[in-house]
Parts: sequence; C-alpha cells; structure tokens
Amino acid sequence: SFTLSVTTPITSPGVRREGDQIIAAKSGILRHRPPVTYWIDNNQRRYVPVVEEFVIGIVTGKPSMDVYRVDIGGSMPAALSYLNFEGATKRNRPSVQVGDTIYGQLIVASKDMEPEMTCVTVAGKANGMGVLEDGLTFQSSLGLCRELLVAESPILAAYGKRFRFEITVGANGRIWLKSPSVSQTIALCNSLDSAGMLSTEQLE
Amino acid sequence: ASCVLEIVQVVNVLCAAMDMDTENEKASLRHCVCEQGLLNRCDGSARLQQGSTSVMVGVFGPAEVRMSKELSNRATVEVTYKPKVGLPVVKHRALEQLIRCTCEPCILTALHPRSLVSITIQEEHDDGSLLSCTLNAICLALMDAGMAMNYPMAAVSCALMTDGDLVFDPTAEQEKEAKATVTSIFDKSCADVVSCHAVGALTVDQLDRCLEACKPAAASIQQFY
Repeated sequence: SFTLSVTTPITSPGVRREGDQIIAAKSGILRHRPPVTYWIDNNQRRYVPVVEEFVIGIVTGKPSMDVYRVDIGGSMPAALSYLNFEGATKRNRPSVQVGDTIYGQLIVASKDMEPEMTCVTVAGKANGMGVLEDGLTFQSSLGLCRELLVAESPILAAYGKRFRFEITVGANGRIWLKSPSVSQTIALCNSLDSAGMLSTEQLE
Repeated sequence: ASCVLEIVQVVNVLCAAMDMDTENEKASLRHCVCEQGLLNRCDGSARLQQGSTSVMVGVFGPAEVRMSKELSNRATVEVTYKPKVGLPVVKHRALEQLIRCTCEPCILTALHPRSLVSITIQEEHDDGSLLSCTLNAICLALMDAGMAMNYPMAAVSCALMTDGDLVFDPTAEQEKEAKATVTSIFDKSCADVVSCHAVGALTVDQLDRCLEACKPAAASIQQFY
C-alpha cells in the first residue's frame, strides 16, 4: 500500500481506498495510467459481472415470465428477456432452447442485483450478438480473454495466419470457437489455453 | 482490528521468573513450499508445506448460495475441513468455525452480497503447527482465486516448553512435550492480532509474550507472500 493524495475517488479492479491510502486488495501486477488511475491485473477464473461487458452465457432455464435464465459464470444467472433479440416481438419469439450458447451484453450488473443481459444494441441491431450455432465453448481464465480482446491481439493474429476459424471471446472467461473440422477445433482450444503464457516469439 | 480470543484452558500458575532464551526465540520457521493453482475445478487452490506438515486448500467464490444461507449485505463464508483419516468429527467442526471467524474479516465480503465463498481444506500430513499451516494455505488459495482481501493474514504457531523456551513452528513431537501451544494470526501490519488459539495451560503474561514473539515470524510469512 502507498499514500497518494487524490481528490477524486477511484474505483478500480483489485484496488481499494482507505482514507488517503490506496491498498491492493488482490494479488497481481499493479498498473498505472497517469495521472491517478491504478489497477491490479490479475488472472482469476471466477467472473464477477460488470455492466456493459460482452459475455458468453449458456441458457439454463426455460423462460419464466418470458425471461430466460443464462449462466454467465457469476454468482447469479443473468436474466435475458425474449424481447431483447433482433426482430423479436410478442408474436415473433426468438428460437432459443435450453442449452444454447448466447453472446450478449450486460445491461444491469451490480453487486446487489441480479445481472440482466441483452442481445441487441440500443438501436435494435444484433451486431453479432444472439445465439451462437455449433462450435465449441470452453472456459479459460479472465486474463487470457482480456489479452484476446485487445485490438490486434498478437495471439489471434498468429493463429489467424495459419488457421481458418471463427472465434467469440466473452469477458467472463468463455471462448466460443468454430472451425471447419472437429479435430482442428479441439486442437485450437487446447493450444489457446496455453497460448496466454507465451511471449510473441514463442507464438511464432 | 477486532480480536477473537479462544482459549481452551487457561490456568493461573505462579510462575517463577523465566529467563528468555533469546537464541531459541529466534529459531526460524520451517522450510515452506507452496504450490498455487493445482486444482483446475476450483477458482483458487494452494498446497502449503511447512516442514512435513502439508495442507491443500480449494476455494470457490463468489458463487451461488442457498437462500437459507444468503446474507443481504455480504458474502457467506463456508469452511469445510477434511481430516487425513476418517470422517470429520466435532473437533474438526470447531476448527471450521474458528477458521471461518478468522477468514471472514480478511475477505472483502461486502463486495459480494448474496453469494458464497466456500473454502475446503484437506489435511495431507500433520507434523505440528497444523492450524497455522492451514490458515496460511487458505490465504494463498484466496489470493490465487483473486478474492479481494483486506489484508494477507499470517499465522504463526509457537509452543511454550516446560523450561520456558519458545519454539516457533513446532513439530508434532515438540507440541506433545510443550506446556502450551499458541497459534496467532496477524494482519498486514503485524501489529494487530486478528485471532488467537491456545491449547494448554498458560498464564496471560505467557500468552502476551508468545503473541509479541510471533510478530517477527509473521512478518517473514508476509514476505513469503
């Protein structure tokens, strides 16, 4: 912990404020963006829902009161209303079954409330959200997903040079992968898990 | 910091003046080896070996909690202790409660209301100082799981021998010969005792002396973290 004189309160992952001091609450690498933003980069597996993050979930419950229950890996399943799909109306319901993989955005996520997600943007377009057909969903660490979500991620660039595949990365540690053959999908999954640890040269 | 004191037997003994043997008091802790992230189904896990005493801990959380156990303003902490041989009995349940009371202030439970932090402990080998080894392993597992913590807790055991010497991190043999064994848990500044568990007969002065002496040892555990 160290003393820092700040005038505005900071809420950032892994760090908490006690009076004048900023104290690390998790173990990891301390990052600093001037002037006053500090956060801890850590590699955990359990996801804590944060609003406006894109996540991959699995539908676990039949719609009760027209709301699907989607497991996003947090402490509570997220609620997804059937109207939150592109082109869905009360008469035109989306074809979502229990066990489907959904890619959506969290619109409500706080520590006191059950998370809620949606598969449409504010304008009503899907933008890639919705049900993910076929493919393989697997769980990895949050750190790896953050690395893959970086614009022009070196890992994805290296893979993209050699293989043809479709990938969706959720901020909750889940990755959906689809490639032309089953064995290639499995091979890619296995290697992605360990790819997070490699440096750029090793990737090549 | 709040202090939770559980003393199993405290007897007021008229003790003669004891010369503190400073050489013995500086006896170092046993060699510590730790492995994190070894269980892939758990959110966090750690195995800690202090000498021959070995404990493995798995942590889940923040996870779903049953309605009957949920707390509206903070996370519920649940501890399960599994002994090496046999089924858990009453003394293990008491140990679970002690561990739970020690860990709850350490974890930032207010960040995760209505969820569960589940800690499962498997005793692998007991060669003395089991409680302190367990608590240190729990701290390492919580850090591996990325649980937000107030402070990394450091637990130190010390045995008060019949001749007045203090032995840190006693082995099972030393614990048997000792008059009393004190396990104390410190927060990050190592100045405040978070929790203390004593087994045996000792006076309040002797308890104080043990607690004071454990502070430098706790500081070295914090370094290890």
